[in-house]
Amino acid sequence: MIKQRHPVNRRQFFQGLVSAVAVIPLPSAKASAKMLEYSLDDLIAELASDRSLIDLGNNYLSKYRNPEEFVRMESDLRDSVERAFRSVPGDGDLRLRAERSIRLDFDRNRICVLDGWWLSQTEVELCALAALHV
Amino acid sequence: MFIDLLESASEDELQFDLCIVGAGPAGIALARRLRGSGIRVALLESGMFQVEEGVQELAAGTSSGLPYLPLQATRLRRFGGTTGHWGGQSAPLDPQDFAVRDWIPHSGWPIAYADFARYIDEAADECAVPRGGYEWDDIQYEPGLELPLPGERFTGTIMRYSKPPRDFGEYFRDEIAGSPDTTCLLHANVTEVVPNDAGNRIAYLCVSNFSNREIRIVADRFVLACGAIENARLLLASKQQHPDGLGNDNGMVGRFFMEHPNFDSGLINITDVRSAGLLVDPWLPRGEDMTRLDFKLKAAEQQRLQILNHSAYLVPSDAKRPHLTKEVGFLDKVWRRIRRRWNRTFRNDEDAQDVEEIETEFKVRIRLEHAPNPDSRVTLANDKDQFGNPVADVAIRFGDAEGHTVEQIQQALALQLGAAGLGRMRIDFDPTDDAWQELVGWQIHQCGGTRMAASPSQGVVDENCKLFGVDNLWIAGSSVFPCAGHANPTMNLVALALRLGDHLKESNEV
Repeated sequence: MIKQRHPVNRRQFFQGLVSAVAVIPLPSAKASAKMLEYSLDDLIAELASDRSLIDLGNNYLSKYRNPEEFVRMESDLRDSVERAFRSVPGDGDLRLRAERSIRLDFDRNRICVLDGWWLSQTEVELCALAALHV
Repeated sequence: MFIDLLESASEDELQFDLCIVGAGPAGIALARRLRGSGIRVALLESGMFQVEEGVQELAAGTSSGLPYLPLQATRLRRFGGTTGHWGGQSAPLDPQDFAVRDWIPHSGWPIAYADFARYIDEAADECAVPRGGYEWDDIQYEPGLELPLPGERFTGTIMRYSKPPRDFGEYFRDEIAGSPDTTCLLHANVTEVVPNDAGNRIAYLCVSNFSNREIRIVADRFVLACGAIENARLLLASKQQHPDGLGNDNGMVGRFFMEHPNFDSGLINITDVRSAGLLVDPWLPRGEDMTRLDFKLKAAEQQRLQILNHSAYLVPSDAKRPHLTKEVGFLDKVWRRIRRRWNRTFRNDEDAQDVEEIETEFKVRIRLEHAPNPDSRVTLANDKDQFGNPVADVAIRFGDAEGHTVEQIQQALALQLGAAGLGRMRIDFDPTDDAWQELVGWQIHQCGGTRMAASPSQGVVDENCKLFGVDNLWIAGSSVFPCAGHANPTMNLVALALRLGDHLKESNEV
């Protein structure tokens, strides 16, 4: 559960935005063996280590979610992200499926617009989970 | 041969078989097409071989619609016309430009695309543009080429170049000088087109030599090839027998004036510039030829989204430029830091430092079709030129289609960038706020004003470019375009001039 809300200025928001774009790419061959063991919790924990991603998540939460419902919200977000991952055809590393899921969002018009930026719903929800994880 | 009327205007009347008014690309291409046909051609040019101040002043006018460029800066009154400042970029009109698109009022040409397209190769030769290869389908199998935006929605469109841009005045001067068929009269400024008493045939042209000499040019047939603004202006100012202007019984002369707006907008972060290929570096390797690959939504997508034709490419973002996205300039440093970290973490990229200098932030530059609009028009202003004729007023106006098209292209691009993993886009465009219209740039592609149509209630000239209601007056140039697509007009208007030349040679309309 989130304990403290941070005001997000424009700079922090865009930092978070570009981080989100950068953090979910295809893994390199060298790193892929390690990543096979990744769970959604691992991924959220890794994202939560980046201040800018947390800010992005908070920005989403502040705009689209009711603060009174953060507990239930975390469960909803996890369900949504896991559904998105499951919709990706085939098996494979979680990061790989996350990246495919994000791309599929754009194909399926599952878009979240934050300050004019057209973002994948999945990538924004991952950042929101990272924010709630802190 | 050339005759400078300022130096040697000895006769009050000169007679020819056919008289072309205007020695720009349309007029010169038409005169050349008529060579060897036995038709004695007069080619009238108000200027000389270089721009002269006193002559160029005749190109001045006013603007009363969207902010536009000074009219005298957009046209050149000299032998060769505006090819004197032509950039050389060329592409043919698209088939959909000729089709009636039911979501675009007044769209479509009264002739089939094939009737126009068969002249494109020859027009390319005339303009020194490489033949063919204008569509992605023409080049897609070449090694190393990938469509800038993968997927089903976008395709590529290729801009080819006349390099160096062919100045028709310089290039064809010697040929015209030695032509036994063509007499080019310089310092020959047409002040009025005068019909017969019945008003259904042109009897002669009033021509001034800039020294108080008025000369009559008599011919069996006449062609106006003065450019989109001047063709309309000359008809509107020719009021004998037709108080509202020649060919203007239905009030259509000057209407449907079109430009090619271009509009830079959005902010695009490209995730990895080196993988973005032609999207960020659209210049194709073509030996000595310059060739740029733009992208556009496919015709079927244009129909589905109900948008105008267009082409687009990315340009580096410049935060210093006054623009809708000017607030986000601070992203420069942030993005470079993130990209460097990404490249190091996930790509084991030893060269990560090197990419710092590569542009990663872009805007999309949309080259937009201007929807046919009867309220976008050329009229006569109150100001007069040195001969007492009213100057032109140009009122460029948009409807809803232009803003809708920009919005839809941006949204499609934002989705495709994300779907392809190429990057993300910020959209800050609001089509309901007309402020964006004040920020468009103009490509100086003046079209329309004497549009081609199937009937006089819809346009000014028929499918053979002949003025409705007048038996012996034709119009050449982009002023007859009913729809102008997104392609640069020069090569296209030359194609139409060649088509008109064939018609004039073959027809018995004398």
